[in-house]
Amino acid sequence: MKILAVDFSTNLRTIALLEGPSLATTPAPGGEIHLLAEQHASSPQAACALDMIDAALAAAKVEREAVEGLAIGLGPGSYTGIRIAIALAQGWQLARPVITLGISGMDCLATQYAAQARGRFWVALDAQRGDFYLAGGEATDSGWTWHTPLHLASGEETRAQLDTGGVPIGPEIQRWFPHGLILHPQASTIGRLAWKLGPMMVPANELEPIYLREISYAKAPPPRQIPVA
Amino acid sequence: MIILALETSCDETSAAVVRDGVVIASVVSSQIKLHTEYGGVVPELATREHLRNLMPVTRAALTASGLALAEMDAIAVTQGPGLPSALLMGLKAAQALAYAARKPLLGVNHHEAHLYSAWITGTPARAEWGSFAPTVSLVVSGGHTLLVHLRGLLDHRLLGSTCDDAAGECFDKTAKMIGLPYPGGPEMDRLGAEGNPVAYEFPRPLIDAPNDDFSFSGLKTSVRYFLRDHPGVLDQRKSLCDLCASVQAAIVDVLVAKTIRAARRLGAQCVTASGGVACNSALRRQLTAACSKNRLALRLAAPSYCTDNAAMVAILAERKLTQGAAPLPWNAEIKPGWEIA
Repeated sequence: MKILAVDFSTNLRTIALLEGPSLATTPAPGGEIHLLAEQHASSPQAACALDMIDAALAAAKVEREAVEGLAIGLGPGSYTGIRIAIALAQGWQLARPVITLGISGMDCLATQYAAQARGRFWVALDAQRGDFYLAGGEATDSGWTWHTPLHLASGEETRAQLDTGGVPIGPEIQRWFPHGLILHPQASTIGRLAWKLGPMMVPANELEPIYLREISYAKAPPPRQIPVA
Repeated sequence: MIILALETSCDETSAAVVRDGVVIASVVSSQIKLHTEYGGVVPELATREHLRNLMPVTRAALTASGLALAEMDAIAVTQGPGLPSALLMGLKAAQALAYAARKPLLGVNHHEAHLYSAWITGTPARAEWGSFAPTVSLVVSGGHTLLVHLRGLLDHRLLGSTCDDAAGECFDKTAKMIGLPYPGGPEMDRLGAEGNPVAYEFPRPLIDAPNDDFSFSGLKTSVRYFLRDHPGVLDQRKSLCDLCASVQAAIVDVLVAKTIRAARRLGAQCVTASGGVACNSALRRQLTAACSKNRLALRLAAPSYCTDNAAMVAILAERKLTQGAAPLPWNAEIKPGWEIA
């Protein structure tokens, strides 16, 4: 089956078209997932999702009707970018009987790190207001695991955790940790993870960005009791 | 022609199907309850809700229409103006829907859809284009106050708009000062119906100005000073209702006077009112009387088409496509500040 993967969670926006076995047969045997085409845009301003999708389909000589699934990177990251990707999946699912899956950007980055290195690593993404989306893992010959699950961490906590050892990774990591390894979540990895997580597919209207920060807004005072006549 | 339209410009998620000028399905999911506790629309919450509601609302409209997506001739969507993050959800979903289903996509101006919503009438609701005559239209809501001259169908020119607050914003903000729940406009209308509209004197901003523009922020400020100087007014039901009626009268007087004056100046035969504030009973009553006195035909948008809805988007899109409007390219983006031509 063919899966279109989208990651718009960072400034580097990527789309990939992959082909592999039916998700009903997961876990897929190794080596059977093929990257058919990939598109990158270096900034949100340059990223027109449907133009990128159209270009990827054209490059792979695949008709849009042949797409059977959409894998969406859910961040954490740019709410706007992630929501654009989810809205695209929703529109597509309204039009065609495609399956949809949401994939964590942290899992994506851990997978990319484990493909090139071994040992402890920390994924640290900008969460604004001096905070980080932080998770710690360990890459081994058999893959990777989390030892510190994803959470919202202060700058102070993040620096303390990184002092315990491990390679800091993330799309903008060198802004704070110059020795860190720059990695962007890639749609091709998001797509490959879809085959691992196939049974976790959800309807597109249940997809949402990974929200870690609690939102609070000033509430209006209770309305006046209108005097009776 | 059959059109499926989506609308997500503010705090209503809506989808509708229109066939040959007839609304055959219209579904609106309102977020008013969600935003009430904050006293106004919170864009972040509105966006989250659109993302949750867009698919079920669209499916409900298709089911209600009894038609399949394959039978649609085109998809339409509100492209602007509106809250950027809210518009984005509708546009991106509509683009993907149209792309995947190989249908043309039309982007519609939200104000323009309101402008022509006054021609949607009857049961089932249909666009009565056959009765069109040169018109001056008042489009009035929480986000905008526009006066527009319609020389012909889709041939319109903006005459004036608000320099600051929209009329609906003035209703909502003064209601908030009085302590009424959000949305305050309908509460002002309800309480004002019991009150005396000449009990208290408030300014009628720009009512005699030689232009078609509006300004309501000064009126809002004068209510603030009035409440500072007369705090006891809110303790008695009668004086509170009188205050609501008096503020409402000031807003409505300006809207009606400037609309009628523009219609007479331009030789229009018809006046229309649409948008959320066109639900206000005092405005409907006063416009009816003024149009009758000036021998002008009056079209008031039906209350269900005054608030944001996708049916008006579909109706306008169908008309535009009939007149040869070009579909949107796939790289089209939202237009949060899109002004009516």
